[in-house]
Amino acid sequence: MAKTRRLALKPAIPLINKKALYSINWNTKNLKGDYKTKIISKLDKIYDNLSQYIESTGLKGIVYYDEFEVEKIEDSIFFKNHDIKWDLPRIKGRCIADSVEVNGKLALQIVTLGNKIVEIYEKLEEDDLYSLSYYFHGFTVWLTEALADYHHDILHKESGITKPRERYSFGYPLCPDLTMQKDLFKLLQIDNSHEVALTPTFMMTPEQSTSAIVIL
Amino acid sequence: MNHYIEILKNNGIILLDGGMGTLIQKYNLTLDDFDGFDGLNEILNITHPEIIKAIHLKYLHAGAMAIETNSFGGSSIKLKEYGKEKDLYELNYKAAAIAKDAIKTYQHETKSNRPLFVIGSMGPTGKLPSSTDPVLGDITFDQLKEVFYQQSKALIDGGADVLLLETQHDILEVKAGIFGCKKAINESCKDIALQVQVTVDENSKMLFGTDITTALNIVKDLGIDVFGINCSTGPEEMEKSVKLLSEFSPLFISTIPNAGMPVNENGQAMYKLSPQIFADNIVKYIKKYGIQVVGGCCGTNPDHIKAVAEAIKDITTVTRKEPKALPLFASPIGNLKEKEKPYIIGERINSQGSKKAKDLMIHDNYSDLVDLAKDQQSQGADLLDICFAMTERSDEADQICKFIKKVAYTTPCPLCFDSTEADVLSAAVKQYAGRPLINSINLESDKLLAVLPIIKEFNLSTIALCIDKTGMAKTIEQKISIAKQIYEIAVLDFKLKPEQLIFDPLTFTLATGEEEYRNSAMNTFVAIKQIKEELPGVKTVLGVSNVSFGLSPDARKVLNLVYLHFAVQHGLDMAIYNAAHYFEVSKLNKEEFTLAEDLLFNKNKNALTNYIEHFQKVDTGKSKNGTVSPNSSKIEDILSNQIINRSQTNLHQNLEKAREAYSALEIINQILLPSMKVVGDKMEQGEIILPFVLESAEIMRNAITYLEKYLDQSVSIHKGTIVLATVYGDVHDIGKNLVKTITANNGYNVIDLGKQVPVEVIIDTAIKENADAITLSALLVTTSKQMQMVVEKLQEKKLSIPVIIGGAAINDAFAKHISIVNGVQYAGGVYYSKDAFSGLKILDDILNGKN
Repeated sequence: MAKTRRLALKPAIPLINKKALYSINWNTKNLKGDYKTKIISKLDKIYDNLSQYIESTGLKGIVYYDEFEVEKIEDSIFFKNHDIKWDLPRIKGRCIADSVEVNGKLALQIVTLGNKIVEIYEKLEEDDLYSLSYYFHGFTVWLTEALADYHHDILHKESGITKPRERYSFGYPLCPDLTMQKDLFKLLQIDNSHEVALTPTFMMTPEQSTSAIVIL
Repeated sequence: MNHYIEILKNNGIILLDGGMGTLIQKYNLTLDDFDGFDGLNEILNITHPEIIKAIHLKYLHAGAMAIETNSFGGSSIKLKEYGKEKDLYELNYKAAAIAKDAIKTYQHETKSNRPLFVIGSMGPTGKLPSSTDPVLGDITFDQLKEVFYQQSKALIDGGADVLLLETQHDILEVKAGIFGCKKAINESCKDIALQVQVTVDENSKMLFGTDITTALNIVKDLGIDVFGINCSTGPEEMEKSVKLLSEFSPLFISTIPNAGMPVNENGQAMYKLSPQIFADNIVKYIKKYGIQVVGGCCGTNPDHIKAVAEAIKDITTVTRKEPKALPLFASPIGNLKEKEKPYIIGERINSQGSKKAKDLMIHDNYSDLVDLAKDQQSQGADLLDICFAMTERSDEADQICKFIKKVAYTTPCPLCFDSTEADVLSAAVKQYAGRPLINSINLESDKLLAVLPIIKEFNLSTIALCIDKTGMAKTIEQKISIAKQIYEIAVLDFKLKPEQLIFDPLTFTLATGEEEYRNSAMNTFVAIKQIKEELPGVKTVLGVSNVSFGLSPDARKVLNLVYLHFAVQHGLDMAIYNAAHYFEVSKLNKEEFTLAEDLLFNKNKNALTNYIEHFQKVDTGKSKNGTVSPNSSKIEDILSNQIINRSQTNLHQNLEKAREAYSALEIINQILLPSMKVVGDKMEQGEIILPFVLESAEIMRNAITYLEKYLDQSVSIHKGTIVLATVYGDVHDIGKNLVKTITANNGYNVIDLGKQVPVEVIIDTAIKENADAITLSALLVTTSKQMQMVVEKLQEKKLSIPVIIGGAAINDAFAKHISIVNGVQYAGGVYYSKDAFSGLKILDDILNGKN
């Protein structure tokens, strides 16, 4: 069974990728000049309000994680005692397996904001608070990433290793195969009692969830 | 008597301990010390009881007389955030037991016999019952009562001598908390003191704007021993609040400041006030304001407590002036203001008396009812009567609670709950954060015996109508006799104070001219005087406008005002009245005043006829003034600007104005929809960002919802119907929701099937709803295959509904690719839409082609 941690969200908020949130989700990408400055200062207020709101709800981020012993053979990683093998692609000379010892270990983590976040979002939609729900969605999606980063930092400190942090999420070029999330759920023994689930197409629900391989 | 209270009654001082969190931090504990529950200090009662005990001992050695248990965040709601609510009893029991144990150890080590107390600390739950927020406000009075009951019970069992509700932000939670604590205290059969502390800012206000004297007034008669403030600021910033409490509180006062205002250092809140300055301020408050319970909150440590202990050791007696009285009524944002009589109870939010209000209630239009409350306040109402009773609906309690939640903090006027049903009154009283008036009790049935316990439990005041089983009291003798009977039951049996009773000797209309009622106004005047003389302390009220029921509007205004004038002369305290029609009686036309006086005092047989004839003349004179025609071209621009510039202000009034020149359908098609198009164009040209478009859509939604009741149900206002879904296997619905918002607010009927929707459901719904198009969203390449399956299935069924697709992995080529099924072009066509607006354009084009 995976280890579980429930983390306060406040310390993760400063780690939010604000630039990406504003530009991609909040649509400021194509704005220019003074107008952009004006809009950004308005968005800053919304950002602060959302930060305070999230804090005030007392909601906790949930982390499911564990360490695994692995064996590396070329670009593949075997999970010892689990009969699971991951073949990882090599893109422009880089492969995740490069960071793993021949007989080493790595951590797997799933971070989620849980079902309450979805309830809040759906309630906002239902109440026709279109703009607020839209801001809320973008904010919480990036907050999930920030929380993954925050917990990665905790794992990194706890492991005592000194090399730079490395974390790889599924669905990106170095680890593109979403079906590997099936193995991830199996390795962490995630079932109905956990606040995250996998769809038949191997995406996670709630949407405010993110998983990763953490190099130790 | 509880020893803690005994010390206070003998003018002594109780010194509490200082901050707990600050000291815990110094132990540099790791996440594992907390069993993985980041920030859950209460878990230390199990994992590291020795640390908690050591902290208690430090404070006892510093001179604290009372130590707070490590259970501030130990409510079931707080614990649930960590999935630890099952451990509630153990965590709180141990918190108290550890404190008790620390006291024993201290007494054993020092051989000291000074009195020491365990204070069961209970912080806020994090919920805010007064809030309208879907998460924070999602809790009832009874649920909160139970939460605090559970925690209190464990703390008492563990050995707490005093229960403390502290750092409270929402006065409604405080009320519920007090009832929870009292339940646990009563069940324990122990003599436990109850102390309550709220958190206020430098301006003496709580989170939602409740000021300290109002907070005091709301809870002071609920059976607590000590009321005070803690946290938020340092001692210096608390002076204003301390002074007010000293002036008004009939209870013992506690003051537990932080070690100064927090200073931000590297993202951490630091408290830097020195122990000496801290102690100097505390001593000042004890001497100047008669504060008897003191201690430290955030950032204070044993040094601060030691400094206070040193500084107060020579103070033997604390004294304070007799507190001033507070009014019997309060809204959560203000006590009833003192003024010359009569107090006006605004009468317009009443399903029985106002057709307009009733319509709003039937349609659940609470925001316009809130406006009605604000209007009455600005017109001079002091309290507001609220009545939702009607035969058209059966959810009176539910409705009144919904309304209370919306209105409570918008007006400083205390509310007056007007219902004959005990369950409605009970629900309303529990939902309201203020100190309301109850309207009403009478002797007509046994309902009195169901309502009086509620009034007693919450220590409220009530209007008592002079009605018994034989009906409404008409003669003076009947009125006095019923008042006396009610007085006996309420004051002698239920132990209410006389001042909690407000008698209404009843008002009858004079407009019928019937012999039986000709002296009714005079009888009422005399009854007011006699009731007040014979039952000292009680107050009186009248439902004034009944006196003119049946007359023309202008005639009513004058008669009501003159009736009120004479009632006040006879001693009337309060009046249920339309505040807009209240003004100085001296401003009345002298002739009209005399005509009204003649009618009220039955001075001659023709008084009624003369009165009616006079106002008929006046009315005809007025109708000659023509009405001004509405400026229609301007209202179009105002509405259009509201949509484009995202302003909700006066939207409904402006729509009403527009309706004078346009039908509801015309307003939508000729004013609102073209304005939304402008908004879309601006977005396309990069002039505004997407969230602003959504704000415009919110105005549009509000306008359409408002206009719906005026629309001819047989004529569709929709350009067409679309079925919308995120495809099977895909959980991303933000894009889909944007399409929904934009199309639904640009004239389309949108059937939203949600996310992860299977092919069959999409197609079956499209057939059933006779959809003009199917719109599908998918984020990834893998799930976009579902779109292809939808098109294939449509082709197989020989259907030709157009399909519009969008999403990050979708493009024109993909749309073209899937539109060919087995070498044949799908008849309905497959269109790629890059965003919600291009989707809207495609829809418009498809429908125009059709037409």
